[in-house]
Amino acid sequence: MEEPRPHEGVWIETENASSARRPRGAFLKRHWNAVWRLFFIQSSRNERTMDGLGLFAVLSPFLSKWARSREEGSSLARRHLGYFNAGLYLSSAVAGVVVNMEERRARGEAVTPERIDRTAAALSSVLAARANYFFDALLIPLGLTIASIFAIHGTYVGPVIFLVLYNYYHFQSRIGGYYRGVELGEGVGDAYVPRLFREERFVAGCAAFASGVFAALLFLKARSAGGAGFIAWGAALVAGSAVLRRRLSVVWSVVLVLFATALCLVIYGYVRLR
Amino acid sequence: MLPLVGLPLLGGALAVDNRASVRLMISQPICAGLLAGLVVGNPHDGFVAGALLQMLFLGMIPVRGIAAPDLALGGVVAGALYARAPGSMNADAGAKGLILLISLACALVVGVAGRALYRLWERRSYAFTGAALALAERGRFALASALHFSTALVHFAIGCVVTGIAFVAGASVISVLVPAVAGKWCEPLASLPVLAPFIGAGALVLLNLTRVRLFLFVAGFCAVFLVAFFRG
Repeated sequence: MEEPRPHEGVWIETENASSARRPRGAFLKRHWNAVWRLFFIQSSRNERTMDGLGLFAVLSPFLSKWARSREEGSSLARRHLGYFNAGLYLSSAVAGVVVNMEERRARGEAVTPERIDRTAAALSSVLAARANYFFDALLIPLGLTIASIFAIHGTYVGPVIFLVLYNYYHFQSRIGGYYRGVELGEGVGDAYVPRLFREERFVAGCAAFASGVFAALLFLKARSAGGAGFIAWGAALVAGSAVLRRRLSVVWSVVLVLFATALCLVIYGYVRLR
Repeated sequence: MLPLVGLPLLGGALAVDNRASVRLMISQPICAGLLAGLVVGNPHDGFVAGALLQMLFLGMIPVRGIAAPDLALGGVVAGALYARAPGSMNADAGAKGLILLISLACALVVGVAGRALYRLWERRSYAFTGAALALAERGRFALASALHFSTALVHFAIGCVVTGIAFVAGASVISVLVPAVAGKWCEPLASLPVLAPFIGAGALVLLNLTRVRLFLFVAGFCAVFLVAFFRG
């Protein structure tokens, strides 16, 4: 009788997770052909299969090694050309898990295609949600707010800080995520996901603080440019923009407030000239 | 001549960064504007326009369902037009404000058009997957995966074409409109770079409405005023 496994289910700790740890240089040399492909995974995104073709392109260097016959190759290709949507930043971790499981299956371990597909689907939704929140709602707004703070003073340092901050996490997620996926297989769920983005709350706090600094600097600049009138105008713009964003699309709210501001400035100039 | 060649190439490259998911984020308007300014030989003005476009959209979270504009191409167009529009180099402050407004308007149009094109692409690009499947079933994996990478060229081409057309059209509009309507009454438009960023600040306030984040937002706000107060 088979012994019960500690974490039976979607996320099973891979038995040889620690023994699978290998030097990163050797890993990159072996997987380089897949790693650079990860950076184009959403290039062929479509409404029906999302990034299915992208995942296939990442796995394609390995397919001929995994398939023992032409029929098995066709079956592998069909499976990996199906629906795949793991977001952008951690789709590489899912791709790594798929590589790990397919390699084990090709070696003759008891890993069924259904288990691989089920694991990939379950991990995709969890990882996409975690990564999208961290990057889109916290890290990118923080980086861009810092860049804008520097831009107010006309220095080019801001974009550099933004690119360094963002790409530190970006490369960690995309290359490091793939590495961890290949190394841990299904164990990613237990060993990697809980440790993901541990600095999330700190980044959220920094983003809020930086937003406050940015807003205050705008008011200071408005005061030196146009006195109390500009401060009141700025406050009205903040309120108007916040209200419109709740009711209209982003583009429409920006267009309306921007052109209302420009129109008011022109009317003010015309009246002053008269 | 250089802008007419360089700008479409830059637009194409940034479209690949943005749409083909390379995502090094050099396609954000604040970087794209600076790069466009470098291409046309006036990095400072390119940076100003790109940064202003960025500030308008601060706090925008591009989650699914939000019609986020294509800010990569918008940033290139805004930066290039503001930095290199006919007469913009020696324009007075009022005319510069008007040129900035037209550049931002062109960038918004390009952003919306770029988004619409991408939606159309997402609806039609399943054809690539279907063709790749047919090839893969015959064991031609390398060719099937080459089909995937060929889509990056499509993004590059779309970026090139949209940027090229928008730059030429926008420069024509500026060269006709600015001499015709610029005058003393449009001098207050020089204040646009001071007021427009408040639009982004409004969105940032919305992002920080939970208790802890609102506290930190107010702390950051007050900290700047305290420093300004003590520095006189």
